[in-house]
Amino acid sequence: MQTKNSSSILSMLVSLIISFVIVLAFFYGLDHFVMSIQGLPLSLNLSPAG
Amino acid sequence: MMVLLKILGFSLALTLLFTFVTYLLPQVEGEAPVDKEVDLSSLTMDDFITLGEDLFNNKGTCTLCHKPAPLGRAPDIQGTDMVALSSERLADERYQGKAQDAADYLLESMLDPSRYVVATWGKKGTNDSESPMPAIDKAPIALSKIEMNAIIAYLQAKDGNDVTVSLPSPEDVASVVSADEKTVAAATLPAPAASLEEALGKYACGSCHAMESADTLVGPGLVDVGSRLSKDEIRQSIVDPNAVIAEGFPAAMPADFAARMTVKELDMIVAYLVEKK
Amino acid sequence: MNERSLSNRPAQSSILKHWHHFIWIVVATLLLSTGLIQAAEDADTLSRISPVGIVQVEGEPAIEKRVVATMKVETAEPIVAPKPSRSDYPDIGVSSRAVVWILAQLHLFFAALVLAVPLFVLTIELLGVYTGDERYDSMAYEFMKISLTGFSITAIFGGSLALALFVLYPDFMGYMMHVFGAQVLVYAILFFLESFFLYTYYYGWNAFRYGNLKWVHLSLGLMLNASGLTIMVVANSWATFMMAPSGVNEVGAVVGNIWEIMKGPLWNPINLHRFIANIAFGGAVVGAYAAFKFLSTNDQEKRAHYDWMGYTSNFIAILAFLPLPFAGYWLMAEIYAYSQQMGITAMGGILAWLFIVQAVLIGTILLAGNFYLWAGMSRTDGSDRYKGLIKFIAAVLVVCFLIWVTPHTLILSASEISLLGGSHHHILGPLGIMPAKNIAVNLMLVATFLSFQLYRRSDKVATVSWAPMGNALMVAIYVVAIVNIIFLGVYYGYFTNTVYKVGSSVAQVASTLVVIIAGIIIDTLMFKHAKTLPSHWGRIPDRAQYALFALPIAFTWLMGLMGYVRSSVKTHWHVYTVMKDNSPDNFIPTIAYAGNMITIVTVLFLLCVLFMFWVANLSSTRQAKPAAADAGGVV
Repeated sequence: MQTKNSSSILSMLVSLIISFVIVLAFFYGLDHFVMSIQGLPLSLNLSPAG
Repeated sequence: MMVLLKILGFSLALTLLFTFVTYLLPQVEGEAPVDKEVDLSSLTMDDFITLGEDLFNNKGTCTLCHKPAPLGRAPDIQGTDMVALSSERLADERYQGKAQDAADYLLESMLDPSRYVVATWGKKGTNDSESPMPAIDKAPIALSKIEMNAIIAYLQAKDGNDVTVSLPSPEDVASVVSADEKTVAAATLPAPAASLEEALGKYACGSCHAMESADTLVGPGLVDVGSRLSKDEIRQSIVDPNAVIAEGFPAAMPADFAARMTVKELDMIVAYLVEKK
Repeated sequence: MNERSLSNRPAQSSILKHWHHFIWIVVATLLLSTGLIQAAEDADTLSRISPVGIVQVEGEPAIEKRVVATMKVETAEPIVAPKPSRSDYPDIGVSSRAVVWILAQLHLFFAALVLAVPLFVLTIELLGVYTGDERYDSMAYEFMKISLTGFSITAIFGGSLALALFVLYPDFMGYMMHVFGAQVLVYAILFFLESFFLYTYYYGWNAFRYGNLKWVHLSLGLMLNASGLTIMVVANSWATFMMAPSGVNEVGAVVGNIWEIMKGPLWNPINLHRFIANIAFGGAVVGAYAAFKFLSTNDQEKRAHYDWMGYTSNFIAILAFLPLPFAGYWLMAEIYAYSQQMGITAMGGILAWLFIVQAVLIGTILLAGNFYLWAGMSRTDGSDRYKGLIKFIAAVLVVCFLIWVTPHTLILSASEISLLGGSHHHILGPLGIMPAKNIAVNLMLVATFLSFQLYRRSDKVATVSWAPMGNALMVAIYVVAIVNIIFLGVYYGYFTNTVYKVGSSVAQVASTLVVIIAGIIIDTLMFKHAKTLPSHWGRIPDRAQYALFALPIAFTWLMGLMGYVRSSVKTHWHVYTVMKDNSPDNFIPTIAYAGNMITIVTVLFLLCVLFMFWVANLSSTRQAKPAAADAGGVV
């Protein structure tokens, strides 16, 4: 019982972490994309470039 | 019934809440611009400058856009010495206008704002080649020449510069009085002249042609035109003046009478000239 | 919309499509013919002497024919916009503007209602045909029944408005009649068409209920909508002509044909905006009816029915409400493009304060909508799983709401107020790019969507194997999107330059849209074959129904407010830049005055709507035959 519970928590944590990584990358790209199509390029750390 | 009363009470209370919000906000009325009666004959330069300031802030609606950063949507004029700035602008290689001095430059900017667009203030996507500012002498603002001069006087005076525009002369006043009709005339087809005198005045025939003598002003005198030309020739000379030009005269007669005159006006003028023998 | 939902049934839909085309052909032909007539008339009035441009031999006569031809038409002179002086406006003792304001607004309220209701009635009717669920059909019929009197009320107020305008603003109306000319006849014809389809659609409901006859009935509904929408866009062209005249020259002489006059720069943005807003408004009003019926009965079956009806109405209203800001953005952008001055008058000038009131109203609508969703969760047994989240959503909504309605400067000193004089002020910047408010608005939309998503999930249990992963993804999207919205607003709004500040608001909206789209996609896939938990219509606290009253009240007030702003951006012009308003009411009144006027029309509308509902209920009431004298011995 104990082990099953902790393993399900573990798998939940893993899927959460994976999700966050994917979603963070997506929004990072989204910010770059939306700003650049308006002619406002960003540098890698998201500060205004150029 | 109880339910109905409850609902009505609730709805009414909510409506009053919204109304209450409007009472919290600043209560200002937006007056329509009123044409102020200014006695131009006794006008001093100080009055003229004050008039300019009033126009700048109210009727001209300049401050809608020209206000200090960060609220401005156009360069801050009141916070800048425009005379000093004008000489910079005139020296700018991007400047393509015809103005020679600050007063000219300011007037030009009001009449044709796109002539010189201050960098970064142009319409989006036009690369500062087009100004978002409306022409000040056209509707909806439609200031007169005198009013624009008053604004220039104010802009010159506010930073201690010499005022170079002159006070309105009686002729200016007269032109303002008829300005309404004039802008109408320039913009479109005016009301047709009712009488011959009106028609002759409207097209200013007399400024180039002497009607009662054979003297040459710009064009030939017309006192005996009826004996020289037929009715059709007269008509043609007005409608298409460059088809046949009287010998020795330049092609100076406006070619647009055909577009501007009504048939009735043309007939009246032709009939009048045919009789001149 | 109707076409799309029909596409699965090619056989029947082709009939409908043809009907649909047919009505548009009729309408287009009518419009076109008037356009041509008008164009021909205009061409005549405007013909002047054309330049001759022929070199002639001296003495030879000119071609006589041309002169004769042009002389015939000389009698008519071009009509420019009149310039009435103050004394040309009849003085009836009370403000003419106030009279026209009230009549116009009431007319527009009812017009919006009776245009919107047939639209979603038709959609619901189709839904009934699809699902075979008779309840949809009955509900559609009931919606139609309760708004039927609205058509007559619309016409009555419309007639009174026209009369008032002709009496109180004769020069202006004369000019408008001259400009639009024969188009008014088309309007009248459309009006008859609409009445015809309205009565056949409504009274034929039970006669054409099943089989092929049902499709005849649906066609009638389609044509009712087509004629109604055409009426709307025709009437819109009058309003947009006044704001941004086209087809006339600088002094108002007609130079274009009727199509060029109608198709001004603001016509389509207004058409779209009014179309969407009408649906939201109509949904909200019929929702109030359902709420009223729900509260006034204790019969469980009836309560279940009206609960469901109220839920559907609310769903329609909120669904139509969500895209409204985008339509509004388009309209505002077109106003700026047409005249920067007009745009600034609305958003940065004296009228800008009204957008704070707008924020209060929209905030009320969002709060009421959310509250109704939360209360509705009690209908399902599975909602306990999500109830804990509600208090956080509520907190976010309230905080964001307060940020949104906070003006730049909270307390105005007397000197600041005096600075406001005229049509400009130095305090309130462009609201649209204010970073704090952008964060607040986007978070409110995200929170509202979360409420909606939780509500939709509350009666379902996902059975797909990847459900935990899907949930994790959804959580991550919410968290990252919220962080991103705040980051964009704070970093670009306060620490970089203005250009990036404006640009970042687009990225914020994109984040919000990602949440909504991802939420819909994930939930659709995840709950495809989900186990459904029992759901009990009617099991909702009474106080939730008050949200259904708050919605129409806020919508009505909001419409009154924004309609006032739309009309006022013309400032002292009847027809902007073409015909000046010289009437005693040509100034922009104070905000409180406008607030009073809007409240008056809202209350009047409320009373008229109550009357409309009362009449609708009369038809289903039958007086009992008077009992004989022995009943109580009273006689």
